[in-house]
Amino acid sequence: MSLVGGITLKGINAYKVEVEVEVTGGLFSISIVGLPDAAVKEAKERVRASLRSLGIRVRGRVAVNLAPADVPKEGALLDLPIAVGLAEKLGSLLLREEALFLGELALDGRVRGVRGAVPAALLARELKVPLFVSSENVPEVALVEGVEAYAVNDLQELIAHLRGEGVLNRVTRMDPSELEVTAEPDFSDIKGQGAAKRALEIAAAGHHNVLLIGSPGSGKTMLARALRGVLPPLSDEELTEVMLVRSTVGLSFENSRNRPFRSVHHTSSAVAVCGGGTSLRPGEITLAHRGVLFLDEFTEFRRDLLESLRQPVEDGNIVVSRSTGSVSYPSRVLLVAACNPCPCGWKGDPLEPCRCSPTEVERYQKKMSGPILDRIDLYVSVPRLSSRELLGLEGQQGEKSSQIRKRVCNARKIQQERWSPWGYSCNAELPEKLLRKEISLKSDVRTFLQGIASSLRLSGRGLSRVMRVARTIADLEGCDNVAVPHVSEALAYRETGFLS
Amino acid sequence: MKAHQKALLLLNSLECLDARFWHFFRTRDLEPSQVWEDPSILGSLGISDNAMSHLRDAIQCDWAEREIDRSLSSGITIVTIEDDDYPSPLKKVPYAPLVMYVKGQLPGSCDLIGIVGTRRCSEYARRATMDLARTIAEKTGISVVSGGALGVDTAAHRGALEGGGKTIAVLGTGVDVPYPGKNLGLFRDIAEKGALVSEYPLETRPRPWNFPRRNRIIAGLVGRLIVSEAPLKSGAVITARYSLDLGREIWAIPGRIGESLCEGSNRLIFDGAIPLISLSEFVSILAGKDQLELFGSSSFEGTDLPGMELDEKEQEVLELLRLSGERTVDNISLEGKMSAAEVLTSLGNLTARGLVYPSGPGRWASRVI
Repeated sequence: MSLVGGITLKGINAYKVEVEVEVTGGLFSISIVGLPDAAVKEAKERVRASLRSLGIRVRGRVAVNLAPADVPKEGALLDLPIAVGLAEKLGSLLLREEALFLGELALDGRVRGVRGAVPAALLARELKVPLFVSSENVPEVALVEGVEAYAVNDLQELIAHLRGEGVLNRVTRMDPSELEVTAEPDFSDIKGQGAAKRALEIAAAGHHNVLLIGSPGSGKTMLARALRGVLPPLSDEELTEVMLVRSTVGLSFENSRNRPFRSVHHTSSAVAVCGGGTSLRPGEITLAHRGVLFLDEFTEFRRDLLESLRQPVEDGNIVVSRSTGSVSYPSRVLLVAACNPCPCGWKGDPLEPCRCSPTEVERYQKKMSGPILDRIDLYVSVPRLSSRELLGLEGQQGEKSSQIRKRVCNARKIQQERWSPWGYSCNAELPEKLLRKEISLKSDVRTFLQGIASSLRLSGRGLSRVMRVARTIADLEGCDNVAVPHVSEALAYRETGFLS
Repeated sequence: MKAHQKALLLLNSLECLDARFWHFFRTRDLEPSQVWEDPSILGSLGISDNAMSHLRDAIQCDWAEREIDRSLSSGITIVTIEDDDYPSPLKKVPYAPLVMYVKGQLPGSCDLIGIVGTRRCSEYARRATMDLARTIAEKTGISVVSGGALGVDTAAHRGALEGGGKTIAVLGTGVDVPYPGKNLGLFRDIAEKGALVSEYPLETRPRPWNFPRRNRIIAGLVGRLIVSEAPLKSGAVITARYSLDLGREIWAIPGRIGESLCEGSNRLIFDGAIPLISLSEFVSILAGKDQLELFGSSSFEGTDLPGMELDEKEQEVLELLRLSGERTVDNISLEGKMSAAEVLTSLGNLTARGLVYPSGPGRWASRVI
């Protein structure tokens, strides 16, 4: 068995690839087998050149086998194991124990960073073997606990280390307890918008999906960006999950506990959002895992795209199946959608006249229906403040995100304790049936709910939505029972009348 | 089938003749049957060659007989200007339609109120119209007439139906063509509790020139016309002009100055229409009460929820909205010194009771009294 291991990625998981090398006499050639893609095939030039830069001459006929032979291999991350395997075959070094190598080679022997370092570290930990990675990948690998990883600057260093001469620096684990939430903008930077801020606080507390409706320039995008600042900080476990996803697409570590914020443009394809392609890349919804997925201009999105978002938003994972295989990606996101009230955007604005015909408005609002809207618990309409109103708010100091975050964290803790026997962690996850059964309502709340259900003609789903949001509001206040004011407030976040 | 019915149906199918032509026809001592037996005489009455050929085609294929059969089978009554059940206010109108197709039941009383306005109305106008129509239906039982279009028209019909009253929609299409399609459900309700009315033959598709023309029927049917919100160039202003010709009483709901959406209705007030400034006053005038209720003593009712009184904060928010009109949550919390959460709690409760409503993105207003 070859002791030289590399990895290949499938989804967000790394699989071990054994690199076997044979050198026979004959004219010089290198051939790589084992379903390599173009980047792997081109490794031969990089490997040959970098070995040559160390004075190791490759002669004869070289065959490189990447086992298992029937799994497609992709990317430049196999350069390093191929070089090590070849160097060993040529007698430059002798491996005593099995190890994983990960890195792309430059022609002068430097080792470049690659994507997939975190999954590789997890695999190395599982196999209990040392891992050699480019020093560019160190920050992300440092997050993984209990892995024996070494940072490699160039091939010469590595070969010396494997010969037992020089000793590479072992990657020390970074203590995540020092990490903070540094998300921008802060809630206190946003002037006014008390209603929207309050709604976002509730959304963060109960993990409710939100739809922001407002005219252009009312601050929908800024509010959505500020949301991650009030979400609870990523736990250690969540941090690893987030880094795992980021690492597979080659995004670097942010050095904070910020939850991801991904904004999707409405022209994006379903593959870009949900994941897929021949190499089964994760989509935006997976990159937003444990964070916020923001869909601006919600009504401009193609219907089929929104439909395909529904299942992953609901289940927290998405299975991408292609002819090349199928992988499961995590996708637990807080969905924030934003749209204008009408095509021109000025419907209901006190200053700017709306120029849309009723049919245009109707057609526009029809787009806002559909299954994905069933997953949205809070509807927030955002006013565009006139300059006079803005001036009136001058000098008002809003609450800081960190203060709100404290309340949100407390509410989350209460929910976690309450729902853990059923395996749920927040109010939004709860199935309708369980919510209705377990929510504790006093008789006055019950009569109030019955009253509003008939006077507002609430559907069954609408009523559950009100109860769900009311439960979160009560949790924010630390109340065991839902009271009438909680329900009242929940009513203010319903799908509002001016849209009908 | 009576002779005059067939003759009027045929003449009506030309879509350009009205009561004046029929009087002219009768004063010439012509028999109705001559319309289809000897159409050439119509040529001498000023009917164009084009129309004549259309008429000949219709006679050729027994169009009138089939039209009557079709309406019978789909429960539509055809009322001609010669019939006794032709609405009496229209009989005195020179340009009244020759034939009306009625789906549903025309109300027995001839006291009708028309409410018209733009299709792209503001949320304020929609609410005001709805409350107006509902109150009229609840307090006076007078039927509301409108045009079945989106916006103000829909609000008027819906309000009247909600108040338990009858309502008439005068359509610009055949009565069997639901246009706009969004109002399909509304039309079904109106046919049940009122009437869909049109002068156009069955299956007439919506054509732009049909709609201003049908406005004269609304003007002719009603004793009072209320213009809710209308820009200068609008069907509602056309209806008001017809009503003025007929000497009807015209009311208009005042709108903000400088806003093109209500320029037409405001202009009507300038030209002498009565401004409708209070629902309760208007209704008491309708009900024939001698004394007007003084301003401010209007009877105001919200939706009653069992055993729930408005608390102090809710009172305060409501008062603020009544005094200062449309407000954002920020305005209210600043002026009432409350947190956004408290304001939203009050607003949620007040909306459930129907006392306030969201009037635009992030803005709230109190219900029209």
